[in-house]
Amino acid sequence: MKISIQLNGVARQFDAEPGERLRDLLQREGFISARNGCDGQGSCGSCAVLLDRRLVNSCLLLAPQVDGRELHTVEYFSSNRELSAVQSAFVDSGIVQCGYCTPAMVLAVHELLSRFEQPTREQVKDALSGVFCRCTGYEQVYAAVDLASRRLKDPQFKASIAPEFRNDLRVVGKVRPKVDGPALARGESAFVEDRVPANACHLKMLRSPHAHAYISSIDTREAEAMPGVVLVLTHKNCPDVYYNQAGQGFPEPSPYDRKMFGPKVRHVGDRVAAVVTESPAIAQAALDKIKVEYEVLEPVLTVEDAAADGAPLVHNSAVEYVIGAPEGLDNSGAEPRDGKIIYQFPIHADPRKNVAARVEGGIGEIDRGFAEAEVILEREYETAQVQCTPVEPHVVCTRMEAGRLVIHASTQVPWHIRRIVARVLSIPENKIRVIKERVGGGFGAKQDIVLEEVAAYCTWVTGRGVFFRFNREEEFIAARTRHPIKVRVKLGAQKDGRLTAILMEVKANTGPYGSHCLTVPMNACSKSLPLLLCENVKFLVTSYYSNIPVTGAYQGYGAPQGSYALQLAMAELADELRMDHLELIEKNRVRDGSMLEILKCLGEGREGTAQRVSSCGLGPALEKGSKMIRWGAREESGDPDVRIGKGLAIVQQGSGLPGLDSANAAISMLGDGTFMLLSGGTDLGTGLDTVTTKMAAECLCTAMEDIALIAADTDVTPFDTGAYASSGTYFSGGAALNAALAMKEKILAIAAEMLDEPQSDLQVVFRSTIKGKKGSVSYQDIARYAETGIGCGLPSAAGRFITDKASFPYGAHFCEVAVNTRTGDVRLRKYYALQDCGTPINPELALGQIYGGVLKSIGHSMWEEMILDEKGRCLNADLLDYRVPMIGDIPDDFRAELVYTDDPFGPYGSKSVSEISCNGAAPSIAAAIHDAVGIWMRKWPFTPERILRQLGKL
Amino acid sequence: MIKHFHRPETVDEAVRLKEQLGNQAAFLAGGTEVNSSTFGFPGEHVINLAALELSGIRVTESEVIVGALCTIAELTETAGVPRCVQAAGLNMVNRNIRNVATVGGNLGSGKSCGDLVPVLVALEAVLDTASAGATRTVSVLEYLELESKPLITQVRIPKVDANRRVAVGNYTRTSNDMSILTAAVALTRDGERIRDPIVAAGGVARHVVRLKGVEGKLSDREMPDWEQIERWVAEEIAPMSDVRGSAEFKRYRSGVLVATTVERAYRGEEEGAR
Repeated sequence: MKISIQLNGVARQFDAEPGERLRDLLQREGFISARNGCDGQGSCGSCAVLLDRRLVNSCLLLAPQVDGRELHTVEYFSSNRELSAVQSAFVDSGIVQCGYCTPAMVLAVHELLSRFEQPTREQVKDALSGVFCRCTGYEQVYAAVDLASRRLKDPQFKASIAPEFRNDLRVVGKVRPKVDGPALARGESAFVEDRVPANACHLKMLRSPHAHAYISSIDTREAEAMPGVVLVLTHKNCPDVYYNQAGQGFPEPSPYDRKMFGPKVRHVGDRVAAVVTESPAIAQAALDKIKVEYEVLEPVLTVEDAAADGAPLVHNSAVEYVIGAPEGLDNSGAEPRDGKIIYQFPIHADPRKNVAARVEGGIGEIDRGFAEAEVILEREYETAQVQCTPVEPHVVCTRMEAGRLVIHASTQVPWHIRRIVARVLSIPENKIRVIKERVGGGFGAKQDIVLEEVAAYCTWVTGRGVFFRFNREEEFIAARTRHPIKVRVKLGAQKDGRLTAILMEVKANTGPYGSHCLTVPMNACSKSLPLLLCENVKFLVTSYYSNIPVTGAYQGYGAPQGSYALQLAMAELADELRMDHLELIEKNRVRDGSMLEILKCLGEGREGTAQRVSSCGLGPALEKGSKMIRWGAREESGDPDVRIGKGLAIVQQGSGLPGLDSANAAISMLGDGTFMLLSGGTDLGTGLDTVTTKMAAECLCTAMEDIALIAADTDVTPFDTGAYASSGTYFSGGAALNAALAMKEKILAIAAEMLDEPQSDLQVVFRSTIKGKKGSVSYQDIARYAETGIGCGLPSAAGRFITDKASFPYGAHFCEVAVNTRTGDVRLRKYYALQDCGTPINPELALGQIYGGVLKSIGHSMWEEMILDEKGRCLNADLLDYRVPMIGDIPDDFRAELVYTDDPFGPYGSKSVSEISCNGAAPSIAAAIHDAVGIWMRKWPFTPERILRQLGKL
Repeated sequence: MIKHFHRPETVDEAVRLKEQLGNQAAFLAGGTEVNSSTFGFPGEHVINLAALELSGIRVTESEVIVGALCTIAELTETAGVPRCVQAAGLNMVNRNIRNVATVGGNLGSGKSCGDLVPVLVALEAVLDTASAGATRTVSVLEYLELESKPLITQVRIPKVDANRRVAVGNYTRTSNDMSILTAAVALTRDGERIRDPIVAAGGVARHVVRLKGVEGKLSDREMPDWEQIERWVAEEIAPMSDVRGSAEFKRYRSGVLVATTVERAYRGEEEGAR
């Protein structure tokens, strides 16, 4: 059909299919900013456009419906690479993180400001009510809208966006535009889906309808015979290679317990077959032609199911060890169809009992500690399975170039992809290039190699480009989720509140494969126990295989579950002791200089080391937060059904993995004295590229625009372990700083020669100048001199960051809730997150990380839960019934505060900021609910139904 | 999959097409239901209503006439539309949806909750409908019961007596959620006594229903205790368990919602029809 649209101010004609969605038409016509996060359900708003100047979801419109109408996409507001007032306000306010939903948000605000000159908070909330953003936590949108409305009147208007730190530094600690912000706000080509060659094939996966079954037969002949089918892949013709999909440093503490496809399926959504075809439509038709018969087995869904005597075995596999095989290893009785498990080293697994990993340890004497206790409290806490829900689902595009495999990835771990793909394909790593594109939300889900190796293999064997993108259902059932965990906490204390013993017993449900099966549940202990100073501590961690959808890394990595249990247990202990919760925390909390002996036994699959706390902002965070929330003051709602309560939690995380992680950067001077910085660091939208740019600019006394950055391309940039474990600023930022320091030395040496002055008399001054006692020389002069035939050549330098030091970020979260005892509704009246990330390198972006992390964990605490039926099928694998928080759900009064400390080990005194933000919501909200209505919510999420049951109303 | 996009220019043409194509065709208004991948229409034909003159809102002395193609956003922004109707419209999911979803579409989709349905039931609105060769005016509940649904052309909302009070409410899990439970109540306050109550509830049956038992118990008496209303509601409804809540929860929560809505209508709060 011919349709006419006034598109972005230009009369355009298009041919459209009768059933073609408007979003698809816009995409194929190059208006790529209308994104896809919900597969046409209309539940995410990423595809929003302005239709007759009103914000609508283009996925819910057929293209012929807009015939004769006026349409605007974000591209309209980005002419000549200029930013609109709204776009510039978004960039300056730090509200652009991953950028996938940014065009939709920008359009929403344009629509809003066309209706209201200076909108109220309620009007802003309504305007953005349909746009899902998982990164930002929305709070900073309000400031962005205010800034935009002022800039519409005065384009030069500047606002104070965030506090700044370190007067001794020029860009570090200062508010500066995110380096990738403008392009993302303009909706430019940036993501994997924007890199797909026109002739690329499409990959679709046939997935298991059963949680636990053997594939007794599979017939792909009809599918293979279909025109347009390039390849059909099953367990019969895939590589015979075992591996683990976890993007962890090698050798991984995760078992190699899977092949690309296997004769056994272990969860609903497990891989059965892949088809590679000329078009998506053919792919679906080909999948329909594959005939599969299953021998269905009883599924194992809970840790109790898994641990039961005679439980079905998820992996009745033959076991091998690369090192450390136990004596008398007995593989008799293993089922050949279950395949093998290869351990890189022992993680104390026992697959014959569904145990994927186990670890225990402690300090002091736990029995003596409990014997000394005057009060003993023992409780169990449970967390539901929750999904990362990046707005951009998992996606990859692979192609061949000059005999090498190129992988365009939306990943947190480009180098782990290269290593794992090389293993699976049995080819050298030098045959593979991984290019990390902009990542539309990672949150841990993209720490694993969830789809890349399949597309890579298909390209390698066919020579064809392959595009593979999960739909939203696949994102739920086949990507990565937070481990459901049960934690038993036993606390011993004196009547004065001093802890004498802590026991944590963690039982984690790791699902069908063992990605992160040891380290996630360990983190439940390692990121919660060191917050409390106690001489007698013991932990026991058991991770069970089951047939639930795959678990893995999720922002916080086990810490949110452990923190919920231990911090809420402390609230319960305070109640038992009739002591103020804050007072109990103060009596037992970690402090600056505390020696953390417990870390000796909390290494990630290896021996750890005790650490002294190098900087700790907990004291000021607790002091300020308690004043902000009026701790101890009772608030009244004025409604007899509504009770107000307050809660708190202290939180910590790490800053990367000392002794395990490493990061590298390289920097070279160009002919005009500017620089090219090559960083291995992977920016997921967090602002890491801005961090590394600032590190170099600060050190070299040059402007940020004088540093051009290429990051996370395995052909071009040096190795980096990846963006996980809160390592970005500390490790990748540290590597950039070290490279810049090395560059500075080289520049000084050349300048000394040019100025004929000793290097010790020279200093680097802004902008790009070396000043001596006799004269000065610019970087441009140095470059011009160095590149001549008599010069030493343009300088280049490399930097590496490794450490055995751990710099812990700390924080205190306070909240105030209103609990309606009739409805079970919990309203968040206040949430204050006060966090110490050392020197905040990008203050406005650091605040955004806090808001985003807190809101995700509020979601987990209040609404989010993957609901499985008795067959292991997820009943709410979409954004309609899996309830992620949106702008209307944020706390009425939502504040993130940065508590400054100067860490001696982090680059420019910095520590991590993101993951820690996820650790406070569950325990503080649960404590506040108890303060309000006297019930202890020991299972998240705290839905109205669960609240009513606890209140005895149901 | 949609293979044919029909663009009739008159109501007559549209309904004849529908009669001819039967279940293979769906009327297409805003498209938030028909085009949704979750609720979407599985047939091959859509009959786009955009060219029909079914837009606009007219306010007369006796009624407010809302064209079926009027969007929810227009409904909530137009002066003269009863505030309780606007409040029900604003309860619908989010702005992106309200900007394109239509009044006729919301009624025609036959959802268990139907954001606008309870309030239109409470206000005793009627629907002008068209089918091949016939036009017919039916009440909202009559329409919902029809096996073969005619095309709604407009909604007529009668102006209510000055003593009539109306309130609406809904329950969603989060801010950006479809309504799980809805309620609307209209009553006349005669001193302390309740007269002629209409209580409509959504999310507790296949489509929105009137709780006649509750209405009978509320009639000609002073405002009862909330708990009593909650019990009456619980006795009269039989919601289904699903992923959005157990039957037990929905029964209890619907009771609370209806009781609260009755109370708010009784007190004459801001959503009143006046």
